[in-house]
Amino acid sequence: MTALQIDQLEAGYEPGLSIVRGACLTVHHGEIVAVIGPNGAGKSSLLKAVAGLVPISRGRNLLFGKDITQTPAHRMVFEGLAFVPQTENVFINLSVAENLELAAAIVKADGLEPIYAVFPDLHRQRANLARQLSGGQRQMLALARGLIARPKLLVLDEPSAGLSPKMVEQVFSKLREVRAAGVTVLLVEQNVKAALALADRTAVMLEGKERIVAPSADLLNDERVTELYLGRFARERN
Amino acid sequence: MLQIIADGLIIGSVISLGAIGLSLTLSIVRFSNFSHGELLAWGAYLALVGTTAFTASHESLASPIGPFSFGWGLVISLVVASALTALLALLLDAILFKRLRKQGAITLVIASFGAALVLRNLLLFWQGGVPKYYSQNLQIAIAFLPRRTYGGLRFTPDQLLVLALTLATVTALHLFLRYSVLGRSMRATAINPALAQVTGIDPERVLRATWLIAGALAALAGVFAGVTVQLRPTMGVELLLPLFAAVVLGGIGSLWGAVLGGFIVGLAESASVVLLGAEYRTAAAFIVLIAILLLRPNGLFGEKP
Repeated sequence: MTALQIDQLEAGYEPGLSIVRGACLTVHHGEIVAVIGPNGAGKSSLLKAVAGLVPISRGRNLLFGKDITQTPAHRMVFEGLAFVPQTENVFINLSVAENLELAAAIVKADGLEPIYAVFPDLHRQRANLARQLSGGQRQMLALARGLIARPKLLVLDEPSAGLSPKMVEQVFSKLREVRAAGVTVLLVEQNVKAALALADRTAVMLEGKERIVAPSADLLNDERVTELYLGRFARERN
Repeated sequence: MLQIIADGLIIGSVISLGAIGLSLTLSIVRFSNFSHGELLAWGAYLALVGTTAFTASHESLASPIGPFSFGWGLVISLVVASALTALLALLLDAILFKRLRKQGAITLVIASFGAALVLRNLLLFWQGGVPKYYSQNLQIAIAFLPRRTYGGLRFTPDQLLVLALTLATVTALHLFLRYSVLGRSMRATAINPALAQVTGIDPERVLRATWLIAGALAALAGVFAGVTVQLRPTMGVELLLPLFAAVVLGGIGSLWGAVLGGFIVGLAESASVVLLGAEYRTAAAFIVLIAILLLRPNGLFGEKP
């Protein structure tokens, strides 16, 4: 079953200035799909466009067959799509408990016990302000906030950004648990090795469009990936 | 000495309630609304019109309640005026600010200057420039301390009620922002609007709630100003600078900051009237503001970005 189908998507912050330029990507139910690419490739904008945060000028997004192209960002969570931004992904002046309680109240989730069972450290920190958490703890809180809505598709923008290798492993381990629970995962990553090790399939993006989409194992030693990162692909195109 | 503090607390009550609404719009709608002072004036005058209408139809509503200078007519009018001023704030957003929101904060600020001019002059045209009062009944201040004790301490019953209602309103608002889903959604939107949206919070619903609360609090502040001083069509613009001073002093977006800022500005104004003269009243508030900002650039309770 197709969880997400991104079809010829064009999106950008300013009218007539597309950052995502005709991107196409299919994510199957139960998969982890990573999007990698050099800085400025449009990876984060692609995810934000899917989440409703960047205006879409052309193309469409289907979530489990339903067209969500024009669904406002605040309705996405009710459609089954949870988005975890890269930075500023928790409400820093609310406590950990308030962050989670608010998310739970909005989607009318049943209590926080299931989430605290998955994230016991957040239970210990629940009275603290989110601004007092370490980078890794914040990422866990952001992940927990996204999961409260019991999404069908979890979309994460660089979940490893700014984290130590140990914390990256913990976050990615949680993502494997999330997938095992039946949630499809789409993420953007700068950490190519970690992304390829985590994801079932990986899309390599350049200049607003996917250039390669393949099983991650096949891309580990694929020279085209290196070339894309070094810019040869771009030079050849010009 | 004690009387300066007492007077400062009464002035501070009005400024605090007005400053909370201003602080909410500043942190959630994200612009400095220079028409906020006019909402205070409109709230005060709507209550006056209501009181006149109610007492004309039911004379018993004009009789003073207990030791206070006003009757039930003003109490009912206060509720009606708060609701109407809340709707006026919402209407202002719907016909003006909402359309300009994408143009950025500067456009909104300029638009709010225009809205303030229109609202003030409409009020002047409708009610005239002569100061008005809710009641002609004179109140005798009650001495709580004799003159020999730090100059004495006197309050009128109206002043004590204003102080008590201000504290009750602020406490109720604190509980609303702290524990209700809508209140937490407002705080979340103030912290991070994009994250609030992906959490499932409808930004338009939060904005509507913000305007309604700001408008209702402005009306309350306007009526309190009318009860303790008098009503003038220019009362809004006269209160605007102290309101901004209180918001900045307390820290933008902080409820208790706006309250404390309001009381500090009130105390500064009250002290300057006695110590320097009434003409230095506004200047004193700003000297305190500058002094505190030099020590704490984000204000007393300002949250670091």
